[in-house]
Amino acid sequence: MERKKRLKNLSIAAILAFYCAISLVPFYFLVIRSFTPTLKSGEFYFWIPERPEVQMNARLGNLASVNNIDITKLKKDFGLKGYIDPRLTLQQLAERQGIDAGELEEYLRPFIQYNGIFVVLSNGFLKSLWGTIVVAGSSVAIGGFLGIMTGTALAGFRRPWHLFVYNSYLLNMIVPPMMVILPQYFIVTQFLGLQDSYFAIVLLHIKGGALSTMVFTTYIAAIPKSLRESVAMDGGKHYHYFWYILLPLMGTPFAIFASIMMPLFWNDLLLGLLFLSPEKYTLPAFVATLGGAYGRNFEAVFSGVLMSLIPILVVYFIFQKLFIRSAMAGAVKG
Amino acid sequence: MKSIPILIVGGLLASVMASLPALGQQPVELTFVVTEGEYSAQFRGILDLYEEENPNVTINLSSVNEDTEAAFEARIAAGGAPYIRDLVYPDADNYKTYVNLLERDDIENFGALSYDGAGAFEGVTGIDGVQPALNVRTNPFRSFIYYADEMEKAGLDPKSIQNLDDFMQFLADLKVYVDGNPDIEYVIDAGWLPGAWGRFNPEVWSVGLGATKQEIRDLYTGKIRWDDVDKNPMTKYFRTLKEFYDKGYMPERWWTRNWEQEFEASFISRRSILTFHGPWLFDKVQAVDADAQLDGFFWPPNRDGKIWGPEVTSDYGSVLYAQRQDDPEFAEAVKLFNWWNSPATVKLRSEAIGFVPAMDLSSVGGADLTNDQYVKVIKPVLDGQVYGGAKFDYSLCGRCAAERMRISGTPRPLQDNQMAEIYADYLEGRTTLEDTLAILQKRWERAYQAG
Repeated sequence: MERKKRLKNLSIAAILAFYCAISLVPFYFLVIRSFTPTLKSGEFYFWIPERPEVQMNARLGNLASVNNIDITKLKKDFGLKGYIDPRLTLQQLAERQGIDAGELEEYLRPFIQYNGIFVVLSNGFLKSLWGTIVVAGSSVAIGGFLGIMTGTALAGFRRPWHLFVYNSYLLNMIVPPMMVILPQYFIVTQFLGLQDSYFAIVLLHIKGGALSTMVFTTYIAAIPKSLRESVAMDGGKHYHYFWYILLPLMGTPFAIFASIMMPLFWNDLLLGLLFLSPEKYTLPAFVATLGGAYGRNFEAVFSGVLMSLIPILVVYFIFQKLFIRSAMAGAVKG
Repeated sequence: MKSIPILIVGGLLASVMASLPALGQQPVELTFVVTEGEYSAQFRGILDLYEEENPNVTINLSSVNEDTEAAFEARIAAGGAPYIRDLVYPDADNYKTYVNLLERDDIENFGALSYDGAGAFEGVTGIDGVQPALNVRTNPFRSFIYYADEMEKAGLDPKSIQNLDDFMQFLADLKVYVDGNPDIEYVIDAGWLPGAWGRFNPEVWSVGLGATKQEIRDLYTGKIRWDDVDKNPMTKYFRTLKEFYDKGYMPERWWTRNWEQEFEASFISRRSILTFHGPWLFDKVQAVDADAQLDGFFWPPNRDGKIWGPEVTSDYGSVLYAQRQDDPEFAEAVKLFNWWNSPATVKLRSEAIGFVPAMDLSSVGGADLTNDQYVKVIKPVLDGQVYGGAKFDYSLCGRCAAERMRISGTPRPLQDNQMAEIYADYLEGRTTLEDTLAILQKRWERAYQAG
């Protein structure tokens, strides 16, 4: 009997392990792809392929086009003045500019060998990361807070118009965002003057949040009325109830809201491209610009995707317990 | 004493005059968008020269690609246009977005163009008195590209091809070599891109197989029916493509192969040694392998002794956005636009990225193009050293000639992803040549308004 039970447990563990493995495989290959040179991207690798070497007879222009070598930065780092002819090979560049060829080779080696990571880092990844944290973080925090306030007002649908307001929020879910993108752009930039501002995106993320309204209204409606009444009996005001009773209970619905909306806000490509200038692009917009008309630096794209995933994974691990609690919400102990 | 007021007024005037240049030096930020993001570093290097000459001007350079184009267009629609964009394809649907360069008297450089730049847009669309873009480049040349060292190993000399029979024999010999060499998979490498197999290859290959550009224009403009198997100048193209496919020259189901990640990557990694492509593949191969000995050749000349040459139209030109015309900085944008298209800058641009200028650059010593596509493939034709001195036919392409008949918003007859299915059905034998041409006739009727 015991043996049978152990076998059953082992089988379940094996199935779960297999499921876990196939879920993680894409991440594994994302890591491999982040270190696979673009022009080998047609090959399939199980491990990071051999790193290419710097070729001193390669033309600077070709390296700029294919490996995104930043000629302006190179000029600055080597203190070069004037126009740098992209037709020059690296060797010719060193000779004409009086640079030590070995030094130039060393300088370029990381860009060639770990092209994706270096292109992403040297083209404003950290700035984009900061922009994304500001946008996604503010959107979740403000959106969640507004959702709680809305939910508090609408919970239980005590007035006939509450249902109307609730439904109007839900209407947001069926209006395709692309249909309203131009009027929104016009209002936000022309009337509110929020061109090239992170706040423009936050504003659009938090306006009329259907999901937050639904989650918080439902959750708050389930909170016993007696709690509110006891606050009133003790002479407390509504904001006392809101601040000291309601908010501390909102961890679980907030985690539900955050775990659904955070990845959406984090990965929002369209609004970033539309409202921000390239210097302020959020991560998805930043990664999208790594392509050209005739080619795309896939190593950089995969590196950008990998590196933009890391922060959100960190957030998930930090708030893991909260997210698990949200997943367990409603579960009844038997 | 009388001179004191005069001195004061004089002093005031002098100070006002002194302040005028300072007003002219107000900091200006100009947004400049490029379509060829891969050349951003080269363009930045050139634009840096302008900033050095004009310290009050900051040029915010950014690029737009396939993924970001929709958002860029939405932004323009809502009033967020940049000042300048390089490399656009103006057509009857979108030309009003751009400044009509003919209406302004401060646009320079039309006189230096080696073609009728002012009439180019009208020549294609039939829209009178409009020129939305200034194009300074000959559109990209497309040719066969090969690894010369690999061909030598194969005992083949593509440069010895003189006519179509030689070319067919060359492919047959290459097939024998490929079959005996496990490292090489394809005779002619290929992948799917609607622009390549819908816009360029059918026309270029048809001319290579004997048709004239005039016949292709007649086909597109409705003088020849697509379903007229005997007269359609593309009949031979479709037959030859099937012959190549049936003989195993091309990858199996090549229309399903991703252009960059499968097709280009397989050529770059030498799983094939011959393909048909534009200039960019040279750059890509040589960035990976600076020692790669790439060479190329055009299809043999047609019956008129002409090689397909790219037409020069408004396509690939740079534009100023109409939305910005009332901005106080617009005069600075025009100044930059003129500089960008001036012979001295065009020389730098063409040398930096390797395009053949459509402009007389003799005033600046001409362009010194050193890229392999130009030196090894294009220049020998220009110098009359190939195919008995055959010349390029730069006249309008068929698709261009029919633009004035196009029904707004419809896909062109060959240029969309649905063509992949049409190729698939034909090449895999599910449809006949007659069926295929009948489908194309219907697609033509949907796209164009005859007469």
